Amino acid sequence: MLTGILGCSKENTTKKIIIYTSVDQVYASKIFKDFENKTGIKVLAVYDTEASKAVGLEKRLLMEKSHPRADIFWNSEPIRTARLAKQNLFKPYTNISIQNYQSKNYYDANYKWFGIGKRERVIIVNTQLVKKDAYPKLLETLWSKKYHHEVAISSPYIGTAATHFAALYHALGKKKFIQLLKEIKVAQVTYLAGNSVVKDLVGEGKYPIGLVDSDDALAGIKAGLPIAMIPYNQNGTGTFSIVGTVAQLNYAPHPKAAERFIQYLLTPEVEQKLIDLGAVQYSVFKQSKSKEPKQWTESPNLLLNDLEDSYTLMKEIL
Amino acid sequence: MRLLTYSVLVLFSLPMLILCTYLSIGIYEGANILHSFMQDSFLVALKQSIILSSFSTVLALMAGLLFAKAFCTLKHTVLQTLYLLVLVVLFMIQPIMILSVAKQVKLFGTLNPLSQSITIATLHLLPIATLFWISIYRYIQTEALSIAHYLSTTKWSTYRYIIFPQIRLRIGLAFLFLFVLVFIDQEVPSILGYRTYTEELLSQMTLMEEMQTIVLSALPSFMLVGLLSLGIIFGFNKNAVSFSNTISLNIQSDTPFGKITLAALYLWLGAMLFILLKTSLAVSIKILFNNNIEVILQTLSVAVAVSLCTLVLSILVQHMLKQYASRTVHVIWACVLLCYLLLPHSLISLSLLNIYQKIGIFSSVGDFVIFFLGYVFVLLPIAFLLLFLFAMQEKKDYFLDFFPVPIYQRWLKITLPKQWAVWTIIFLILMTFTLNELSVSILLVPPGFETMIVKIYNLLHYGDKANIAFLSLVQILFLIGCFAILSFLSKKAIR
Repeated sequence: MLTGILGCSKENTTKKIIIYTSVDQVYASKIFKDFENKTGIKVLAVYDTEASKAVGLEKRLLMEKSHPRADIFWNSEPIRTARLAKQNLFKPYTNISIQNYQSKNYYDANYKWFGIGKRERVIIVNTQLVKKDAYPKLLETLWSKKYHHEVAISSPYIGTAATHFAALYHALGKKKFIQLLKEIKVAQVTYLAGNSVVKDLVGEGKYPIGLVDSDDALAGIKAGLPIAMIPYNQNGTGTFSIVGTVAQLNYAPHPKAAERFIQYLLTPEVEQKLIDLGAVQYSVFKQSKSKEPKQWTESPNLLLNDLEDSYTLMKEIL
Repeated sequence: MRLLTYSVLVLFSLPMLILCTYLSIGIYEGANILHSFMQDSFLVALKQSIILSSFSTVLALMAGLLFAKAFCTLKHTVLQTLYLLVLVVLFMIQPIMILSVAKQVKLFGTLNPLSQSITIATLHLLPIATLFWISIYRYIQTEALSIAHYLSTTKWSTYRYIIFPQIRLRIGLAFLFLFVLVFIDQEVPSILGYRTYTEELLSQMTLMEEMQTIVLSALPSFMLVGLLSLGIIFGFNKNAVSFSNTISLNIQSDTPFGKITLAALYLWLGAMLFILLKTSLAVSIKILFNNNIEVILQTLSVAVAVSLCTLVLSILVQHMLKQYASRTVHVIWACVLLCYLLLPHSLISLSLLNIYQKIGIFSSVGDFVIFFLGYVFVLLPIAFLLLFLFAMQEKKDYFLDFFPVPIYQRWLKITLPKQWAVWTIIFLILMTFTLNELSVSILLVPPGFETMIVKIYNLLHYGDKANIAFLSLVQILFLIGCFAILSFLSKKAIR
């Protein structure tokens, strides 16, 4: 610790890299250790938590815009990264073959950020409260009369739920989106603090059904909660997927180390490690041979405007 | 010394001035304040927060009064020390841990989210409410009570005209302190599905990128608690913004009531510790130790340093204010403190980060300084309020006029032994706040430095109960260890 306090911050004198990440510590720390072992570059990480909600690393990066302290922002979702990119916080990184990506929604057209690993939005049910033949198969059915007062989702104003709703706004258009919000209002859906809270309360039986991210659902199942995960709309559009993102800061204090980290991270091998750990469930690369449920997503850059519009409508209606 | 005092006051006010500047810019730029007040979701959340905070505070104060009365029936110093120890240790158990224990009680599951939130908040506040009552109860002027007894005044008249005027400001401030503690906490209510104002505020900040808009969004809570504070200060005691105090009440002999209460508190603590131990032993101690040793050492060393520094700083400034400052300075200081108390800690952290960026001299040392200052700024108002609420009576030592002794000897020989017990308790409470502080841990933490609270929240996401219980257990045992060492060092027992 003392060496940390007294240490010099110039790149040439130390082999280190500063990474701000919202990827959960339990997963990210393992990737950092592996990177350290392979390159000898010491990773100094700053982690975020779900509890910090909106006032976390994104705000810290914005505050530090004129004098960035971080080299890398490794985010568990794409919207905040796209928003920071729009504010010109990131440096383009061109040493990558974008042909490897399954979709152009998984990287920035200006090379300012790149996707790594995917999660999906899934329905979860308490297996002790909902019979197998009654599992909802479509997202729309969650708002139907059958499930009134029974569904919990994380607050639609924050996190991946906000991204999901912005994408729904984009896909449905304003008129249908308003109709959807009205249905949700009538269905008396409960809004909770975060996806992990939804997962816990569904697991405890407070709510029979919930809508969460696939990593939360799998963590709950691993922890022994009586929940089942349902990838919905498999005969239609599929589930909504959320891609993890990584970007290099403009004027990063350790640019060479930052480039090495991006090179290291954006490989199918490291992505597979993330999948094995449970941080993400599916690959963004073409080489992937894993079987995926049907999914859809939108370009995060496109969703930026939709985020504000959907937020305003939700505030008015919900 | 006077210069030092005013320098500390100015330094401490800096983040507040920055926030006020952003607020003015926000208003000047035409941000719609009324709009944020009038949103349905905001009003509902505000109402829910007020209900939760008021009920929890009142219940904690009522129950705390009973427990404090029980303490005052204990005569033996050892029993009193044990009583204070269990109160401090119980206060340091995080609400999230109380929740995980409460969830194992069937009856708790049948309550609605509001009742559950009130239960957890009340259980969390009860120890500190009891400590407040002990401090309030023990320092009522005995002379006035004796005269009242001699004149055979009724109990009600004694309370109405003698006791209440002496303690009403303290009760008011204790209420305010507990109210704010519940009001700014959103984690447990949101886990239980009870939407609070703080959660609403955080969700509103999602789309905000400009500092002035973020600050502006905190204005309603600022005004709410600000008005409450002013009401308490000026309504309850117009001349009471000072740190002077009253005289100790005599303690009667031991009673079964006191001993039974003490046993009940230890039983509760024992149950908590047992559950934590049982949960953590699901994984081998060696693995737990290896997984967490670094974060434990880092966090605890910072927490000790920050708490000690804040306590010393607040004692010094309090002393200087008493010596040199006018009543106006006292009032300004009290207002600044109260403003800090109610500000979301994320805003204090962001404004410090802003100052750091403006200064523009960056180094690893600077990172640690700003991190350290973040904790100090968050803790300082709490330390001041605790010093006021736990203040001891100050008698004029006339003999010192005849036999002057150097100031350091006066501190060492007179003040330190007299205040040791109170400072120990405040130090431990500050440690508790440091260990549970999340905003500073995310927004100001130097890269590569891990804190226990961030780790606990990350682990909570995955239901890693063993590691969470182990980290909580370490915190509790560390505090008990600190208490034991400080008690051992103290030659003067707690009275």
